[in-house]
Amino acid sequence: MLRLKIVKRVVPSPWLELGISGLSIVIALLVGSLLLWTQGFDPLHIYLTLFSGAFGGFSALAETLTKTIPLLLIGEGLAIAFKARAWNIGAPGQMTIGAITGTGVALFFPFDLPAPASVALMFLAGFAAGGGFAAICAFLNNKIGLDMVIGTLLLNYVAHKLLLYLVYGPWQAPGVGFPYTAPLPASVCLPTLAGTRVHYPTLIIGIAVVLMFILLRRTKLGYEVRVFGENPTAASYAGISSFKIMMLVMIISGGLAGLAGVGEVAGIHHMLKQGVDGSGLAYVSSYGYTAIIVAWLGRRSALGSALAAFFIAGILIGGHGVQLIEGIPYAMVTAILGLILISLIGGAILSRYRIVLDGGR
Amino acid sequence: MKIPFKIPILGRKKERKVTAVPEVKIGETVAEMRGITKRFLGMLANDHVDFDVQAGEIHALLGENGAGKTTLMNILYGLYKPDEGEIRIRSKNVNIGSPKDAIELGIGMVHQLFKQVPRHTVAETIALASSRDFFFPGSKVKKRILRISEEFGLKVDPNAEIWQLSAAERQKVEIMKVLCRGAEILILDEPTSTLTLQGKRELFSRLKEMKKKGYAIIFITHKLDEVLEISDRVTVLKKGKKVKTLPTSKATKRSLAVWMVGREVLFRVKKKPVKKGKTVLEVKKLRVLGDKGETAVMNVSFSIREGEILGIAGIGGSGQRELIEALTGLRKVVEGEVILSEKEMTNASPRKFVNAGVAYIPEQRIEVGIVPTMNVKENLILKDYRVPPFSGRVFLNYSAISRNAEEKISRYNIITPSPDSRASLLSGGNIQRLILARETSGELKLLIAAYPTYGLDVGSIESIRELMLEQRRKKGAILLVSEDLDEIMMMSDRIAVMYEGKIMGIVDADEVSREEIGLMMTGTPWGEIL
Repeated sequence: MLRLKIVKRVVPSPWLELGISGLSIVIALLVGSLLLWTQGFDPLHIYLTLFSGAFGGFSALAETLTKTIPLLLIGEGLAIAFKARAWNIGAPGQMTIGAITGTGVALFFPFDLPAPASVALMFLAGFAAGGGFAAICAFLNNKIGLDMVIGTLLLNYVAHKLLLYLVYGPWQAPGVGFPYTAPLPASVCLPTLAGTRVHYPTLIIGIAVVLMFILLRRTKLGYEVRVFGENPTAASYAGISSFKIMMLVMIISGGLAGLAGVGEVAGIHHMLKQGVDGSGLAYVSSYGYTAIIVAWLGRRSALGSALAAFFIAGILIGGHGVQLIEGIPYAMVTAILGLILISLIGGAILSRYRIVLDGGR
Repeated sequence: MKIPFKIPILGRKKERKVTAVPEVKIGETVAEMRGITKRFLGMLANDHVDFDVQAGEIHALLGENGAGKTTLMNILYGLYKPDEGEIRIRSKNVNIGSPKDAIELGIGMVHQLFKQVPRHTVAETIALASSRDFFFPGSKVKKRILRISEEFGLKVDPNAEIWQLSAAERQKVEIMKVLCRGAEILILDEPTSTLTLQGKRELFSRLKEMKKKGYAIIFITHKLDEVLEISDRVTVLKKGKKVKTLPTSKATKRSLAVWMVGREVLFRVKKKPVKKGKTVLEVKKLRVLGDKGETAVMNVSFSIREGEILGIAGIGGSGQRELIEALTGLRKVVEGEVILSEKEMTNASPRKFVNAGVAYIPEQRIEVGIVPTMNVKENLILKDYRVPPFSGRVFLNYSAISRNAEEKISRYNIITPSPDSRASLLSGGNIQRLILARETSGELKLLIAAYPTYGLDVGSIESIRELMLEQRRKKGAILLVSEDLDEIMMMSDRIAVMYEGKIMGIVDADEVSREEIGLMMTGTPWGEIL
């Protein structure tokens, strides 16, 4: 009797993985076409509009790049955290805490500093606060076995409520009545590329992080993270402290989310308000959640996540354009984005197995 | 056209009728296995094994851990497919492709570590396995449970939930599950391992009753007393091969011990005398807990000197793993002391043990010894990556790492496509040589080797033993844990035998016979043997 059997592949070849990824995207787009077609849209036309809205022309690219900045910073941090099996779902909260801290420094720092020093201090404080916020979970995970997913997830709400408290309460701009703070002093607002919203100082930080992470592979720390992530038992025998690794990757990933928060405040909004973490009506969810997808799509590698951040930012921006021009609901765009991700992740699993016909004896 | 795939709905058969007494004559051979061979990744788990069981007998399958007992029975139960050999059930050739096929042929197996859902009732647990009713299967199966429990004296309340039951009761449920499915051939895999003495007594009397009713019972064990107490015939397996089948009445504890641990004549290593130096490791009255919080190592004391190999013999699960983990910093010591070169090391971190010159060849090579997804050269520096020449303050020095890999690969004869290949691609023997290469490089005071040659091919075994002897010549102290008595006797200067967490005796390897070690391994203290 013949049976179908699923067998694990020893090593998936890179070409196969690439092929499967490409095929996954094609399949997702085909399924998406079906969805668009049932709603009376011309799929090909919509896809072309989406693409040109994201990558066609200077202003489209600039907007995509603007969205790439937070996704890149957070995605890189999550990539390294996930590499060490630190399941950080708390990037939205860490980003919010970073934004709050950066704003606090900008508005309330008691001493006069030259502008570049103020900006640097904002970023440093944002990194420290985001990192510290994330480290709480790593610490409790080690000491009392707190589940990382639950811990980081719930702290998102804490951060969000803190933000609401501040913008409705003590930090609310006087005399305005809207839930946001007074605008930041112009001196600490980040410069942008002419005619765009690309706050390039943050982008430069992001690119520096990518380069650092590429180098990290060749460092002792990078080695420890990889050993720990791939085989914690072997790591513990080799004397690699799980506490150290977890704390470190959580501080790094939370800190990078904090940087992204400062970047959004100082580069885009110029004030602290609800939605600095990217959550709002127009987008699927906050950057912190979208960056989880970025990290997975980038296969938890530095370069891969950078490319994924750009790709996803493009879909978000292009989708926005399609919504405005063609009048299709944004939900449709998020549905297509979801389809792409599901088939990519499904494809990644499939590439690790093959199906064989097992001839019985 | 015949459909080549098995479609569950078409394949469904009527429920087996549960007959109170199997419709076979007592003494008739109901299951027969001929020439069964099974390889796992090139490792011979069963090597042309013949085995049979008759209606109305308890047939003990005796052997050390890894002798292939469970593999053989998993083949009979359809969990594995044999590479060679045939199986006959009630004189008919059969192809058992899955446990479902086995159940339909009337074969039932109670696994050593069976799984039950704590929140299910007894009735639900049994119904899950044997009833095809979609709604409320538990209620309909109750009658059957009551009948069977009456018939065999297996008293369990069908309404009790699993979590309320003792280990012995849970096992009863498991046996009833098998009986309810209509099994006439029962395989019990080390059924006494979780039982109390009383639970064991009761199990044995139930088994004897079932035997009288014509059931064929296969009893897997490594305990000699149990074989003598319960079985009618016994088959001894050693390293995948059948040693002997004989009526239990013709066996003695001594003869069984010898057959079980056997004598290996294949190859011997030459062990030259080495002058012993200072004491390297001293262990005093050690107590260590197991995974479930039970005392796994009890009052263990020993010492090892430079240039000496201390072998630890014992049936698997006698506390060896916990002992080793305590000596490498991976497990907490509850009582007692570990002293390494006159330095107190009780409950030091794994890093401290590594820095103090303790090397470790773990039992679970792939799970503990290597990072399978990383490449060979990176695996070769797992212990030394943080010191020069492999790293500076921040960066790893990949040219030194590659040079090291090339040198180790050629010196230790590691066969790998390249230093950049993933370690998971290597064969068992080469993984072990990789670990040895890494662990025995540099300053080494103590080498702890757990089952270092288990499951390896002859050539690898020889080279790995040779490498250990080289350490001994270099005045290293070696703690060798093995279930392979030949290895222990051949390699060790002294031998400590463990049984249920305690040391039964520490003896000079030249002054002890394998029989005596076999007896200590099964629970007789050295003092009582003399």
